Amino acid sequence: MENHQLEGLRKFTPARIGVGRTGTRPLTKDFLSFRIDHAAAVDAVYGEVSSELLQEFNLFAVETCYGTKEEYLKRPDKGRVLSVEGEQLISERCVRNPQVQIVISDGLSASAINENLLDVYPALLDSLSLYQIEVGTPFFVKGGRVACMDAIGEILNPEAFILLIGERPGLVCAHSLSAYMCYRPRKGMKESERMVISNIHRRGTPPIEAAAHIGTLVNKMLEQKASGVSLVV
Amino acid sequence: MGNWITSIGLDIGTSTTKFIVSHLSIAEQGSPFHLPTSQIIDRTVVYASSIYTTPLTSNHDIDMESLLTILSTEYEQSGIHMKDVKAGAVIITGETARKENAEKIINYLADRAGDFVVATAGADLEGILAGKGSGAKVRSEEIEGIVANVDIGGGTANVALFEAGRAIQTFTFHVGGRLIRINDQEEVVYISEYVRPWLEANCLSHQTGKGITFHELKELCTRMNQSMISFLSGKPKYHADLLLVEPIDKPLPLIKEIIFSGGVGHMMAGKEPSQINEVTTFGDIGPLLASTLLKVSKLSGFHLINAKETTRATVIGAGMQNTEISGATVFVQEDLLPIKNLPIVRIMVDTLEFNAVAFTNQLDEVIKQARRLYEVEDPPFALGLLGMDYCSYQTMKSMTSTICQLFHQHFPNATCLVVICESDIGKALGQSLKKTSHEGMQIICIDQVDFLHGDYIDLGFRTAGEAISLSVKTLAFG
Repeated sequence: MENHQLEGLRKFTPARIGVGRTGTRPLTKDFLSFRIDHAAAVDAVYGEVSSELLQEFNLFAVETCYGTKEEYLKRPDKGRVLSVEGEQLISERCVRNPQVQIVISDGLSASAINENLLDVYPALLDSLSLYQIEVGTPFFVKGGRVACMDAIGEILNPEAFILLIGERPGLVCAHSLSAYMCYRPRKGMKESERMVISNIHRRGTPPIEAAAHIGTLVNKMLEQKASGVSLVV
Repeated sequence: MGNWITSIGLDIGTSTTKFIVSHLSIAEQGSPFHLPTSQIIDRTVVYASSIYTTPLTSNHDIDMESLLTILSTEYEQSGIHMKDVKAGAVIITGETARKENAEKIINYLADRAGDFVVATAGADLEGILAGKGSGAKVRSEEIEGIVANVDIGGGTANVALFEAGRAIQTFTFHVGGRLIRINDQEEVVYISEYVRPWLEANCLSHQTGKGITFHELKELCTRMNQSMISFLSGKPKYHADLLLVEPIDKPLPLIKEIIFSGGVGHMMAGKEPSQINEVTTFGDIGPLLASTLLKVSKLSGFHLINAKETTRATVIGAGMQNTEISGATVFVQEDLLPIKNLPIVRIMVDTLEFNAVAFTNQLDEVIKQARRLYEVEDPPFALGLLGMDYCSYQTMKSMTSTICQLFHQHFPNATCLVVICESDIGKALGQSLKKTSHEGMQIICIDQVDFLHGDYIDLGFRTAGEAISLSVKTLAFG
């Protein structure tokens, strides 16, 4: 294959194609870039969300029952349950029955929050305010899984819910963010009621455009009193 | 979920007139996990008229009566209902490309086809549309290197260069079949004023009313083609610059392949004339221009590719390719649509290293200039943001507050602000403009628009999801 053709194929995908080899082993530069990307993925999982960032947006932090990072990885169920202190803090500090509850969680990538929150969060608040949707008291959940929204829903009873959570990192991108949404979160709700905009990062779904679109989706959820497969978009 | 729209194309050239009807299928794509996208996934010709000789009353005035008769017959035969036509373009080319002609036709169509059909003329757009119709655009996506489409009709040869599916440059030669006309008495009856300087520079001083031999005609056509082809190869010969309608605005890149379309392109596949009476069939130099072009271009070293469409390339381009759709996440106040003939005012934005002061100065300059031209209109223009890369929230805020402030300052009475951009941030930008602007200001912000080669934009209705249909053009007629 000619060089320019290979270049053309490379432009189509961020995947590692046409990396070359020496004997049975990859080239040193490709091997090193693989190691670097792997290290970034591990760092994303074990990293911490910047406390200055949380302060900047006035987000207080609660934890789930995950205990340690190892436990978090082995036991997804523990990331869905809030700690007793966490539940208490939420009850004390949050407005009840808001139109929309926004929660931010590190999930499997703290760097997803560190990289994207500055763009996604304020654009999301702008979008919701344009639709005249009232936002409850936002906060941060450490060690959260997607379904922690159900547990929080039981306490605060919001009409709609937006969870900005770090995605499982890959070797292409370690700081990709997802926005999970649903109408009336509660224990035992079906997965088909949840919606998601995924792959939010600099080179993926543009963060500010994703935020603008989430506003439109939530507005539709409130209008139709539904989410997931039953929502007409 | 999918739907389609009916689009018409009408090409009125110096020598021939054609009409087509096409269907554009639009589909909303994308998974539930991503932002929605809408695309035109298929463009099909459902009706093509025969090729008519353009009815003229003089050398360049269209005989409206006869043209309208042709049109009404064609509408009837095509079987489409005019109320269903949601898009399309009338393109008036070559020496008939005059404002009066265009206005008459668009007035006629406005009564019958609604407001969706745009009239347009201008060699740039025409060349690009021909290149889309002939297959040059698609070819450039398949190969490495630049593909030139040379659409040669009666009055002009429109060149459009395509690279990786994008038009990168256009220019026009005074080369065409009807620039020189001869009668069956082997006399020159017409020489277009546009080619006289080139003829004189090349000592080919033929005169109307005088006889001309087959050999002389052949030599003239060969020389004209050699001159044009030498220009395309980057080494202009025989005063090629005198054939150019306007000097080119940037250096010519290396061209790899050429596709010839248009009436002359069509005749290249025909029999080579060997006597003068075979040349005078059309009363002009068309057949001889075509056969000598084939010889000259074969010797030129360019790789020649057959056109998918020759004579109908422009009309197919106009009918099928003129309409595009916007991104699927945009900010639109629907009651304001459609908006037609909106001039595009461009500004470069470096979003990666955004400099608020530089942006403010640049925008101030651009808007001041726009005020001199479009002061009374509302919305006065569409602000086209070019060159944007990743855009942070902070950059967007700074950008939108500058836009709102300067727009209000220079157009205090305007009630609507229109912004268009290439990258997928239209909705975010629109929401931010809405929040920042003065109470009551209406905002339209559309993304994923390729407006590099257009001076005006028409914004149509919603077609799929939030996406609206639009067309970018080079000239506007009220």
